[in-house]
Amino acid sequence: MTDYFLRRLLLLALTLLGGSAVLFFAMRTLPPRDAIDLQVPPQTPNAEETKQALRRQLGLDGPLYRQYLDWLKGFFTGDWGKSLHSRRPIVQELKNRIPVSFELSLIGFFFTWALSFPLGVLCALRQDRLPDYVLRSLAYAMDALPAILIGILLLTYLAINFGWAPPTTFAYFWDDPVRHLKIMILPTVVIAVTSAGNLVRFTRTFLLEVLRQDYIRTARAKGLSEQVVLVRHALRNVALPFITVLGAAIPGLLTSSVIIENLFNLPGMGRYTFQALINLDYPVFITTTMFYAVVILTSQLVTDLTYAWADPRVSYARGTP
Amino acid sequence: MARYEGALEAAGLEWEGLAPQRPRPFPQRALGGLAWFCSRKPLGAFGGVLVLLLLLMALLGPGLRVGPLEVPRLAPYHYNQYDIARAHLERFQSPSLEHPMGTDQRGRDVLSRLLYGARISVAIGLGAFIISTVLSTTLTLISAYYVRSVDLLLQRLIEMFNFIPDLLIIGAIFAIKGGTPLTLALTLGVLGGLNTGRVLRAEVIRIRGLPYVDASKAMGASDGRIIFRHILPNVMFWIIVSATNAVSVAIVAEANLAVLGFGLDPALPTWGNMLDESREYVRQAPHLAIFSGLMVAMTIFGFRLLGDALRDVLDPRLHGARQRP
Amino acid sequence: MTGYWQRTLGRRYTRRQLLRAAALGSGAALGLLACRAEQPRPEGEAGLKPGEIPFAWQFPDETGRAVPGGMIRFFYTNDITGGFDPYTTSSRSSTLFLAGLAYEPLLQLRTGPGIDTSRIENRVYEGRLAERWEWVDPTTIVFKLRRGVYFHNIPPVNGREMDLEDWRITIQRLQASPYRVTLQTIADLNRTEYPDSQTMVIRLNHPYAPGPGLFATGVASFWVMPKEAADKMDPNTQVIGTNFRQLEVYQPSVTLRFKRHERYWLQGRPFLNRWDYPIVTEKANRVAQFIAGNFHWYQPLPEDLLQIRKDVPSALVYRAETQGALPISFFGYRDLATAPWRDERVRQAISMVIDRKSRFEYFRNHHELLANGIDQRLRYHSHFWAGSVFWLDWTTGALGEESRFFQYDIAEARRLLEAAGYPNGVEIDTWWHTGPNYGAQYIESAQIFNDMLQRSGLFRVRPHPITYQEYLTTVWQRRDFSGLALVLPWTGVDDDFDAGLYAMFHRRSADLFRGLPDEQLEAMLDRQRAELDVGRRTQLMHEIQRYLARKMYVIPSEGVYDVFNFIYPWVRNIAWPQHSWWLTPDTPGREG
Repeated sequence: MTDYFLRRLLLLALTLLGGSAVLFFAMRTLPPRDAIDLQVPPQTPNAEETKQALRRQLGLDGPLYRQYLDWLKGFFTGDWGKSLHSRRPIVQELKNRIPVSFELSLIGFFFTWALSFPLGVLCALRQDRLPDYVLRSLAYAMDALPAILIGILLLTYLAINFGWAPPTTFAYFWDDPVRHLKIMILPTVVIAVTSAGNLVRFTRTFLLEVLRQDYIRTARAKGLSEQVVLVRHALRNVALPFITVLGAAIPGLLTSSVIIENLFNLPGMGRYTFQALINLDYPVFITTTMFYAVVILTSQLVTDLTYAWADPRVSYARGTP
Repeated sequence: MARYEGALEAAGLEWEGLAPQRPRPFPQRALGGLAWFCSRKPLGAFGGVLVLLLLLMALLGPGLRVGPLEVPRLAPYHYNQYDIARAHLERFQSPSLEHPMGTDQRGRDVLSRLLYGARISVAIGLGAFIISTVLSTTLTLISAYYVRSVDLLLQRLIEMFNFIPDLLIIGAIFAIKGGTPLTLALTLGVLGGLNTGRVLRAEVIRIRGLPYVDASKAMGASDGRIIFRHILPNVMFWIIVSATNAVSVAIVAEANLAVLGFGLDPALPTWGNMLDESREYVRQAPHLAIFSGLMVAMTIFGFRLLGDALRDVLDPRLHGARQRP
Repeated sequence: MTGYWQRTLGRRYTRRQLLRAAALGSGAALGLLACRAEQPRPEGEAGLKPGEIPFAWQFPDETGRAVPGGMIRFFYTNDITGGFDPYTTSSRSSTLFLAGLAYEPLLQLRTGPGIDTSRIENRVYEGRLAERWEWVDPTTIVFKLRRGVYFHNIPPVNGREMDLEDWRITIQRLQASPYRVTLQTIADLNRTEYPDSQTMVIRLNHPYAPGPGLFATGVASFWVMPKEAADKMDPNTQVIGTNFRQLEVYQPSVTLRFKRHERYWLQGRPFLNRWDYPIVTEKANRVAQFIAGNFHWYQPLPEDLLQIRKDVPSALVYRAETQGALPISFFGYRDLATAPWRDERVRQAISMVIDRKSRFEYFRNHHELLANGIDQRLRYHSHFWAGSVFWLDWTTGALGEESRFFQYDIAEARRLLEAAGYPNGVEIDTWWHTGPNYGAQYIESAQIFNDMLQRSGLFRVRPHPITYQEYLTTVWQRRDFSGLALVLPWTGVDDDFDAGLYAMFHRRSADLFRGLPDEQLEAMLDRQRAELDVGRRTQLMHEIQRYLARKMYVIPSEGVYDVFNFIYPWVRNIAWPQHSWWLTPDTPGREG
């Protein structure tokens, strides 16, 4: 077990390393121009010298591999560089923005679990009957609605009919809990509506599969009540794959938060990343992408480990693909 | 069964027992299957109707010209039909007989634009699907059936792409190169192909290990025969289901990108662009946002239901007596 | 926390509101689907007669009743991604906005109750950080330092008094800045002298006829920053100025908040305590915030004006200084010497297939507003900024014979093309970008321009909507393209428009749009700039305007208009600049 864990950790580190190299070189070589070209107009007197000076000042001159190594060194020592555009240290920004994105992802996570799972179970138990149809339709319909539509209509009609709009200036929970909650009500509603239907399908299918297994038949034959069969045998077997799939939904949660952030004025990572894209601000973009990567890979690792720990059939001895 | 049909009669013998059934001709079987599907999976049938509607809209809405065949457009107006000098009379109209979904800020008919947009969405989705299928099957075959080291390398490469959220990748490409429907289809296809490749690979490895495939091999079946006769029919349903997924994914990706500012050319009447533009006028013309949003929602809804039903019906693991609680 | 409780308990929730909540919840979907865009009654809305929307300066002087304190709530619409230093930033629009709030220029336009600044003759420039200033002779300007001006109390400046060294360092940084090259081309600075500790003398190389406007308006005015900006502090991350607002809090993507400068040089001002500028990027959110009273001020699009007026009947509407941009479409340099549009008749033809009246009226929602008694006083640009001193109105023929090159006349355009040797039309590439950087209206403007070219039937258009980055570098910076770049919004103008002319058409300008050599034009520009006699200069400027109309090196469109703003009646004394605004005691959430 520890063996497996250590192997996966090593693999994770190697993947991140390789990925960061690919990202770095891609971002520096693929765009036909770089951020400095955007910042210094060629009509400027001594444009070329200004650009070169700027490049030297920001550490953008010199061979590419050396820049990569410098960046790598900085990454490990905690110096994550400055934004090319605002010249502000990136760490500072991340410190402020990560809690926001984390909270949004957590909310999404919670509602995906809290709504999809029970809905899926209900649908499976009443398969192909009215409750199944109604609940599934409802869940899919809500899931299909674009978040932006719900958001702008909510904002507009709440203001018109109730004269209420969420506070504009963001406050963290520990600074001003009431204000924070008032700000997060609408995002929560939108996230809840759009993530309810996410895993209904999967839960339903898997529960249906499980219910066809022999051991369920045995349990019923033993005379156990349907309730006990469900809880003690069926659901536990669904829970595990559900965890895996939930973990796999995390990348989606991360990126869908960008739209919510733009809509409701939340200072999150998504907004920061996409602003960096517009400005070709590569240090910011690479750093935030690496951050996402760490989160995703870690969550994959955690779900795998949970699976391994919880499922007695699974053994991660050598040789498993 | 078909091969031995008529053999007994030819030999002059009679079969005591149930009379062998002649299989009905294909059209009858197809219709029968359809009827069975509709009765067993009404939700899926409803989804199928929505999907069919979408495909019809995409095909006929903007008008069709294939060789000598020409179908005039179903859309009442052209997607860019407006007159700036008369815009003040025609803009922001609520739904009416001439404009079933109203008009936008320039006086263009919303319904017509949505119909043209349908074609773009379907085209991107189909394009992505084709690229994704080709890519994933190729990858799967290479890695599952051939060189082991190539397999390992491919797996690591694919994993590296996996940890960057798709939206970021597409956003980055669009920010740098600019987005066209072709680029979007390509990107979505490649990303989807890598994803599906993983799933397919696991399936293929699983099936390859099953006893009857072993038996086939023992009987001397070639790799090709095993692939076509045993593996392909079993993964077919994955491919069908991913087809229904492809258009949904394309629509959602396009809409998200448009809303973030990385969308396709704003002159194109894609649903994402329409949704994005409608934000500007949501107070005095909410019908713009509502209709484009509902169109997106209904399409995704339809594909979801259809995909669900198809999976229910085709997934071999779900067959078996239904357990009534 | 007490403020919160006061607000919550103080509000009454009526039964009607609760019932409404229940009804809304159950009927939401149907209600939304049934919503219609409301059309204004064509005979005019009750209570809005022509001429009823006042200018800000028409409001009464309420300084005597001022109640100090309070936080005023504005907003900002974009993330501020660049640094804060206006002289080195790479994100001009947001940084210039911020700089205008925290720094001060040497001069300012005199404003106040009863001063109608929409008339050019009423526009007088007075000293702001300069106590006095005068043009001693056509090449010399003398500024006197104002005493008793203190910087914001932030280290390392620590609220010390402003001195001449600050001015000197500021001008030095300005001249080294890549973004203010226009000052050099405009004023052709020779040197600055500092004969004593209170006086700065600026000497120009040539006489400068537009004189009085220099240093007073956007183009050449500059913000005074402390001398520490050169070495001891980083102006990209710190904002230390002399304005009555001091940057208190900046949270990226969240908000900008300013607080009162305790030692502002204008005694007793400002009245307000805080200025709140939350960053709200979503339009629907901004509208909702204003309707809910969370913003005190809002500038609607012309399309929104009537609807929001109905939503918020308690808000006042006032008219602001004429605004707008000068959208110019310009040609790429790549093949200018050989392309069809090297011939001025082709350029004239392009100009004449553009229906400027319909465009402008469309963008300003003119018909609907006019039907409701709101006249925006649309004035159309020639190559001169509409309403500037020497501007001639082509819609009335004041531009003379050359007025016709602005008129919408496809038949004449066809004749011109035929005369130029293109009876079958011309192929042309059009360029614009699809990013959000110039606003949503820019993209619509470009698309409509492109469609007009195409629909005229005289041009075969190949449109190129490209990303902002590609546009910025290829089109805007290097001009390395073939064809027409559409409707670039040109802003930052002075009353005289000499600076604008220079920037657009003189070869010494970094922003030159002309492309083709034209020594005659340059000679005319140089001559008018040095012509001190007003009568002769006016003649020269009119001549230049007609010449430019005939040459059509760039294609101008749209014009200037009055813009309307909403403000809640809690904000008083708006006839004066913001340092004299105050909030009534019953303003909800007065202290923030």
